[in-house]
Amino acid sequence: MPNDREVAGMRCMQVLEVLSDYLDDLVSAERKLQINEHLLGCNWCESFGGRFADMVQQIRREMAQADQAPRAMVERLYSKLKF
Amino acid sequence: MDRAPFRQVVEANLDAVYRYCRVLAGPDLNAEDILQETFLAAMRGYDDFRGDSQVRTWLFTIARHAAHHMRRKHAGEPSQFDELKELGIAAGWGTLEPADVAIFSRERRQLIQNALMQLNELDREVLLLRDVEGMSSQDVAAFLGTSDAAVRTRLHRSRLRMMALLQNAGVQHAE
Repeated sequence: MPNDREVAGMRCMQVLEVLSDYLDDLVSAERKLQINEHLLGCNWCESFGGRFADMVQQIRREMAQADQAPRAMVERLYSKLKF
Repeated sequence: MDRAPFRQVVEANLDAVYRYCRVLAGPDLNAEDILQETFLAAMRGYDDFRGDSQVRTWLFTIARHAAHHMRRKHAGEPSQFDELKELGIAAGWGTLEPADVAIFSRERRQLIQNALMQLNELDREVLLLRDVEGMSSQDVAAFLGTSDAAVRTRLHRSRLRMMALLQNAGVQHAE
């Protein structure tokens, strides 16, 4: 059962809810400060947030690198387009 | 209006459109079919493209229509994790142990691709447009015809779903 406690005026569930906005810098400065305070005092959220951020980076990297149109497919496309 | 020759447009956007076509195709459509249909339609319409949007966004819109046209049934998959809390738990929220996602890089790419294919189409689109193409949340909302808040919520839940799927794959991998 996950833990949900109040640290620095925020519950863990509230941090979970805004984790992506926090990572993407889409929360207000005041909210960011509050989340930072929570993370400093809550090892559960600090641990999960770190893993979450790592995974987001990994997905970004892999999705960007993995997909280049295969050469043969490009040739078939160019043939259809009569290039 | 000055415009690049169509071939130049294709070459400059080919990989990005291909990535998007793969996302649109999911497990049930062929990405190459969508790719070909997109550029054939774009070639037919290029003379009428007025440049109101970026050419890449215009191509994405064509790809999206092409994929939807090809998909006979367009129903979102039922969500495996409806509640944020359930989604968080599945992603390892509330545990201190690092998720078992230490996967060799060669396999990691395949696991990520497999996990992506288990998301529903809209989740994949939002992940790609925000996290790979780097479009702003507002631009994605305008492109998909939805609200900024809806895009942000969907992105967060898509990321949590990916984390849960990768964690499960990692555990299965270790067994």
